Amino acid sequence: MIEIFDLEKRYGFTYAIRDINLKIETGEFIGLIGPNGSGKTTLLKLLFGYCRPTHGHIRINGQPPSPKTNSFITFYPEIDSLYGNMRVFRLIDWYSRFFTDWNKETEKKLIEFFNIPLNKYVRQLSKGFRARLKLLLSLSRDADIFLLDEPLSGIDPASRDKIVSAILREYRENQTIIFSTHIVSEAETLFERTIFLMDGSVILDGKSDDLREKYGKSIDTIFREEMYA
Amino acid sequence: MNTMEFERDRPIFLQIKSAVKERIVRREIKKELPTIRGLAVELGVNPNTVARAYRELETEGIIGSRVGKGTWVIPEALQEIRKEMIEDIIDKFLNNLHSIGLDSKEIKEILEGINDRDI
Repeated sequence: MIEIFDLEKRYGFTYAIRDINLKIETGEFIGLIGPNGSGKTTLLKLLFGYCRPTHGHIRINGQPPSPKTNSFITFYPEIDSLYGNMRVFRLIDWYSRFFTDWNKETEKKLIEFFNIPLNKYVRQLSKGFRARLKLLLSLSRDADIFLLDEPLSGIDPASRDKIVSAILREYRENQTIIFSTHIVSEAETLFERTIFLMDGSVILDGKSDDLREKYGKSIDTIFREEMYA
Repeated sequence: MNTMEFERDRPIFLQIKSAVKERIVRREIKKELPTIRGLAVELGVNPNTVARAYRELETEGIIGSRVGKGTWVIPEALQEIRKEMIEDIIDKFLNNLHSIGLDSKEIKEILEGINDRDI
């Protein structure tokens, strides 16, 4: 379970996160949506302990973010930091050694499912294939919490479909997923619960189907109307 | 159902429920229902959404399930769903005819006309 209390992250006079209170139960699959600059990445970074709150606190299974909690959290960064000069199979092998919960079976399944070219150099991969590789690295762990930062942005439709079905296939009931995106229409059916972020604050939060029922609109339409009204 | 396009402005779990009922009436699902994960991947939706649809179908007495034994159609439910769907279709049909200005008498005449044709 993730609990967030009065969370604030300020850079100088700029608030990246402001007054966030959230409770996320184990097993929830959450869409974290908001325009660029709304604080999605900052929130995920705070959960992963990449930066510290200026006010408030976070509890992950009762503990503050630390290397200990990170041992069961996987973070899919939007920014690509893969070493171009490694061959793909070497990179996977090297990366896997950092984790005690690496699942060789899942790795094998995903290599096949994503058609990963193992012998190529990472720098030779297209953007879509780099994303597939990055996702393979994130999903091949038996982690409890998956923080996926914009896994669909800038990816071609074929790779997007692959990524979406890989997530649906590999996701288990006891795993919590927070999936951030500013492209709502293609991902909204994935989310059991949607949290709308705007200027660092949560402006709407609910079960996706309940929101559809209440507004009589798609999550994408609610998003556009609420965010850009 | 794998080409199913959801109306995004209505709850997805309700649409999954109707789709499953339709498949039961069409006899595309005879006994066993697809697994929750299988159907979720097929439809590109969250497994919890499929689970919610299955849960409601179970409360309505349409399907049964047991851990480790999967999910199946309750045979007695078939007639019930069928009746429900027939009523829906007739409602829509009548509403459409009313909406283009036909009154009950004219509709009855049309229905009698249908009797003479090959159905």
